[in-house]
Amino acid sequence: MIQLKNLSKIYARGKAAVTVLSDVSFSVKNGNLALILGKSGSGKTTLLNCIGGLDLPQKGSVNCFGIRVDKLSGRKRNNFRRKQLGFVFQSGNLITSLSARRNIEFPLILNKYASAQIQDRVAFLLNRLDLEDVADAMPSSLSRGQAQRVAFARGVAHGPGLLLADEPTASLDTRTGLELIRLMHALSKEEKITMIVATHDKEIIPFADLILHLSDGRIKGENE
Amino acid sequence: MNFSLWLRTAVAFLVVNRRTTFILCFLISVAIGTLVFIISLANGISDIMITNSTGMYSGQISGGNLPSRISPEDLKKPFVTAVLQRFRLPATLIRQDRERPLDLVAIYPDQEKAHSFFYKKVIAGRFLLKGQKEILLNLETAERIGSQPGDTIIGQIGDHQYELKVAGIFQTGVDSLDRALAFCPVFEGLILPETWQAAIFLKAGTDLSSAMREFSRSGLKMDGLKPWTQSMPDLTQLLELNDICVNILVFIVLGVVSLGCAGSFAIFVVSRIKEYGVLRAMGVTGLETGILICLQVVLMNVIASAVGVLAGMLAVWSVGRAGIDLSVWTSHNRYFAATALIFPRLSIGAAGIPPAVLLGFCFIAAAWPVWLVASQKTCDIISKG
Repeated sequence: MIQLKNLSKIYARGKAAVTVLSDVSFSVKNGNLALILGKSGSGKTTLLNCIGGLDLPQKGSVNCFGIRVDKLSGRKRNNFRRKQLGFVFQSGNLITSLSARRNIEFPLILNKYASAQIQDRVAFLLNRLDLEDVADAMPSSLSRGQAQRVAFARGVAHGPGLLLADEPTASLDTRTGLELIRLMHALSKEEKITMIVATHDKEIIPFADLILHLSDGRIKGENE
Repeated sequence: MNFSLWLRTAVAFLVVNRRTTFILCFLISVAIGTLVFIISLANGISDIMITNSTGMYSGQISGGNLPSRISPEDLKKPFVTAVLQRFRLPATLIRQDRERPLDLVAIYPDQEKAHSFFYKKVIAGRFLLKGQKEILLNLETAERIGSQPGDTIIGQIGDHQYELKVAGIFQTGVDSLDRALAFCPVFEGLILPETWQAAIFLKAGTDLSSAMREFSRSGLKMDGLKPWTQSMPDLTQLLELNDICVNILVFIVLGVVSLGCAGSFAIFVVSRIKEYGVLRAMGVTGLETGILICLQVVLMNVIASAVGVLAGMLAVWSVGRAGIDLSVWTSHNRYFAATALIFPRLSIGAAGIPPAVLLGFCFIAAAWPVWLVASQKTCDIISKG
């Protein structure tokens, strides 16, 4: 279970204080897909950053699978991200010097998986996400859709409990975006990975178990 | 920590950015190669200064007032090429009404000619011949007493007077030789003193300190043996000065190169900072990120240093075949009195100091990019990158 209570985040911009998140509270059941819908600047990315421990809230709590992420030390937060989290960013953000296969391997090696396990898992993901033909291609030669699929494979390779995706379809055309979401949804259900997706892409709505409408840093609506 | 992962990733980073890597490696290689050559050249200059200074007359080890119970054979160790025996005789040279007190040194001319450069410094007449009653005057003395080669002069040594034919006149450029010494062969009837002087010439590559230790272990009780480092403090200082200058040069050149590399590498890291942010988001620690950046810098330096050292060695080898003749600039310099042909000499220091210093500098150079990544929050790196 992912549980956020009264989460607030305020940034100092010069002398002014900008409230980015204000009293955000919600819960996501394990294995569910939660969609955070909102316009640019509504606080979606900051919310994901706080959940993933990339940023710390000034107020409130973030509880992931019984762990108070906001209370963890820097080292423990790193460890939490390494083991429990996967990220998919807007434009893939693959490591450009590593091939698609090496990008997917990376979190597995980081988490000290045995080489046989790494090979099996990478082979499975390449096959499942239809990336076998481009396994050894460098990110620069991948299409945007392929790059996002590699990024998703990298995000779930080590079997995290939670996958955070920030505008995963923003750089894709509708058809490719929809295809990606379908794959992400199917695989996360199979592997019981909780997904929180920040987006303004309404095409994703049918796949969501929970929809949160974020506006000016506040949850304005919640639909199951 | 999974070191092989970071090593592999660092290599991948360098390979993918091969253009930047190549330019930085080229810059480092050129600097290292140049410094290896310059240090080898400085070694060659030091060598030639030592060879000129010790080979001219005194040998690498000189002995004064050695008792007659010790013979030159006693000093011939396996690392010794020659022991030249000389006898110093306080004398007064007389020609017509002119007199000149000096030290007359009785020598064995054939041995001197075989092992020292001194005979090359005859500027008029010829060098001495074995067993002849003749004298080799320094230029100043020859002028003072108005003597030319072929003249006959009187040498008053103690109570004895000898008629000596002037064989030649010498000028070495070394004050201690040019002002107060004249030379004659050991000839029949010459009364020699109880003590003698030795000029000991060592085989190439012999360590001076070990040679001195060996002599002191030999049980001959010789207090008068001195290595050239003691008998020629001016040369020792010059060589030290040479070393200091070269070391300063190494630090300055590598400092500037490292600064350039640090700047370029910082740009290299900043241009890809988002990737470091993504790594941090994946749970890579600040330490691991630092290691990844340092590994890239170290790898680049190690490869470039290896290439640079090889290039430097190649330059030393190619120049070393013919040598560099500096005689135009050293004709009035006593440290180059016999020869000014420099042969660059590669040493462990020449090949090792530049890469070692650069490795030290490269860690400092890596600190900036590491700080650039470490000082920012991961979410800021990702959003701004």
